Amino acid sequence: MSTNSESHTRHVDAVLEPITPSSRYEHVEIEQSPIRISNPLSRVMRVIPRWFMQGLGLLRQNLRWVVVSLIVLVALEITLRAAEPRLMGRVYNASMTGGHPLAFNEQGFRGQPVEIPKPVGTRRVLALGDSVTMGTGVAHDQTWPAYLAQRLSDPQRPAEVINAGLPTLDLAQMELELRERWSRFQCDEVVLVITGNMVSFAKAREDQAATLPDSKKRRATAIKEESGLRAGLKSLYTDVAIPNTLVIGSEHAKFAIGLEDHRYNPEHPVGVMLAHGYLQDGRDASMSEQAYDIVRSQLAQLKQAADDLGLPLTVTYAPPKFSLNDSIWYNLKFVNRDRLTIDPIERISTMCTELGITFVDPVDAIRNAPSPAYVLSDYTHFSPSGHDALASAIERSIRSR
Amino acid sequence: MLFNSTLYLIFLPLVAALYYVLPLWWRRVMLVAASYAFYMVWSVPFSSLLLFSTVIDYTAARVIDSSDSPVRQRLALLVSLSANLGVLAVFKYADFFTNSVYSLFGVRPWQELDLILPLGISFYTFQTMSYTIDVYRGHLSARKSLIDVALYVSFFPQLVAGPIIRADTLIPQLREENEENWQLIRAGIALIIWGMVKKVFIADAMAPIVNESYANAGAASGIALLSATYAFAVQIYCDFSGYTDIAIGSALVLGIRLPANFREPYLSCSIREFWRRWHISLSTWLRDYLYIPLGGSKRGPTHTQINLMITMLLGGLWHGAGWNWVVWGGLQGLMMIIERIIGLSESPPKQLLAKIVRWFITFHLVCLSWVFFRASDVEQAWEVITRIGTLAPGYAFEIWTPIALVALLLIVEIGRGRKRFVNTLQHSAPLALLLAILAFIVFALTFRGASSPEFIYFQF
Repeated sequence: MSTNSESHTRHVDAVLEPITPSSRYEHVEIEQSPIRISNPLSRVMRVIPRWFMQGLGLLRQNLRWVVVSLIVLVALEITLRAAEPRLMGRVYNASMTGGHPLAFNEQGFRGQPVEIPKPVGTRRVLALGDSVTMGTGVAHDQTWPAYLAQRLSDPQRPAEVINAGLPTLDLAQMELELRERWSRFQCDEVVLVITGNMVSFAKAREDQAATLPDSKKRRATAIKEESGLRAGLKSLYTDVAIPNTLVIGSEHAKFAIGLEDHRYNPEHPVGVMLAHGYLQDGRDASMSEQAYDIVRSQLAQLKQAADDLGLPLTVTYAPPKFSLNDSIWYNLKFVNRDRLTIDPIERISTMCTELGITFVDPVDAIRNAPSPAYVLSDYTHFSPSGHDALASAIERSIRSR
Repeated sequence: MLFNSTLYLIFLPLVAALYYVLPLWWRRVMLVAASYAFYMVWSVPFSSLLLFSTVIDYTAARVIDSSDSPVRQRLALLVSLSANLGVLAVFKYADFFTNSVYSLFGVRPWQELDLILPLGISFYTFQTMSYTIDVYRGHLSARKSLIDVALYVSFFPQLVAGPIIRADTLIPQLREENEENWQLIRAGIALIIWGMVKKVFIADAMAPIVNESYANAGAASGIALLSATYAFAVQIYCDFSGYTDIAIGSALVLGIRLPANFREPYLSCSIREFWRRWHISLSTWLRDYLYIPLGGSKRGPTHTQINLMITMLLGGLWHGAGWNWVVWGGLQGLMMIIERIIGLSESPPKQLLAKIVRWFITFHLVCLSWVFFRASDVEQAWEVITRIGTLAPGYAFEIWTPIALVALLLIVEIGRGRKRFVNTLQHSAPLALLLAILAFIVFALTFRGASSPEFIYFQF
């Protein structure tokens, strides 16, 4: 980039030296002559070719490094794709999740539609939950309901599991759905996966009446075929593993250095931390206690709805990754565990015992999953391996009944 | 427009490219337009205040320069000062004044106006006032070109948070048809990266720690509050000096030099030394346009001390309309007066141990005064100081991070890290290019979805 402009008269080596101010009481003469209006394009033909040649010169000087960098980038892309296929596609995309279409069938749930009336001899389970159950980050056949169906099926008695999971659902909405939407599906039993978010929604929506999620809206979120240059570029960008890795990495880095933290907004307390009694801003965990009181009452009503329909109810809790192990690898979003005062599994388990509901503790199964149990980018949503581990814990409970 | 935004990462290269491609007249017009656009991203209506200041000061300076009558000259100066200080008084101090009168006498001279504080108003009003005063003093001739004055008032790198620059420094540079100087551009890029790192990765990371403890000072332990005060010392320095580095770097990309605003202030061994190293453009402004006109140090020790106290109290009030700012300014003045009375030399001692002891005391006195700077009011500041002093029990999380960062900051400052970094990049084109690309990616990813707080000094 060396040019004739390098010989500029300024003392470039002294750019950080302070500018000595002149005395405020001596006269300083600054040029007053008017500046001539010239053709605005007069410099273009001189400057642009010069920049082009300078750029070319820089490229020529560093060609070796440019080639090496490109080879490294291609190798990195191939390695990332091979190591973690879900990096080819953002996890929280409205129409694709982890590179998989997020499509709902005409009956309003993710997966294959089922026959009504139910074929004779089929075991049909209703899987209630939120985005964890729906399968954010994984394909429709890699969710715990899909794995549970495989695990429960045998030649004598095929099994179907309806995946009623939908992001941000709360227990009151699930009760409503169970009574008004899923009751006609002739299920044999209900399995509910509670999450920390669900606990927080109980508190955040305490003043709102529960509403039935719009099933038409669900179907409208089915993948749309986009076309055109913009859609193509967008798709290309989301399908390249390196930017997705950078986005995930930068999120973790922001938590590591404290640019992001896990505080919830007390005015609208949404997030996993409320379920863990996260201490913040000098507050005690009373807001969490209030949330659990609401969860208890909602769970009692859900149990009543299941009883009214004659369906056995099984409940489990999807533990966040940071609560499974003290290792730093389980806590890449740097949750300060000293601030956590409540063990949600213990809370929900006690609640279920009091309400006469079967509770499944999935921690050991998830901890012992053969490969990483969570999607790379967060501590809430499971990888296929995590979904299968959860399904195995639920299967054991169902079979032991 | 925020420096720490993806928009600015695109805005600056675009402006720089246009700047070097256009001939002088056009580039100056383009710079005025770009500067107003920069401001208008925050607010379109409030940019009219910039225009108002420009027109008032341009006209007042022309009247002063063209008139032989001292009365007319004084009147023109008065109009300029009244207009600038009037705007400042209405937008910044009206509510403070009426509330203070109410708390003292139980009546309000007027109802609270509850106005939005225009971005950077304290900076650009002081800057434009210095132009008119300089013309009045005969230091400068009034500019005939309105664009000269418009550019001087609105030059975007230093528009909203300084450095407060004098007309004789900036205007001649903006009249020069300079070619691109890659060494200066690389130095500018280096300073932008350095400033962004300080602002985004250090200051913003400290903000939650400070906010949590100060928002609930009564529940935080003394140790947590002490740690939060250290965190604030790091935050305010990295926030403001980070902003200044980006401002100076952005101007350097255009080949324009702005004055330094900080020179390793936390290495100071006295409060007077601290003020020669901290927010230099404000302290020299206060010296040239307030302290010296008041009489400076020429009328004996008592007058000097009174002048010093008046200057620092007004300096405190410049930062914010609140009694905690007044106390903060008063504390600075008081500490400097005490230093003068006990005969403490302004320059650091030669002996290492004495130097360390004086540095330690100075640093903690500065931190003590930061409590008033950060607290929402005097009562809260007092509560924080009491709880630190009595090591009050309470919650305490993340207390080691600020202490570690203070240590890191001091190591970097002692090692002249900023200068080394700028020098390295200035002389290596491939390294500068590589780091610029990497920094662009890293900052774009960091700004993505982040709710980064604005620069602290924007509120002043």
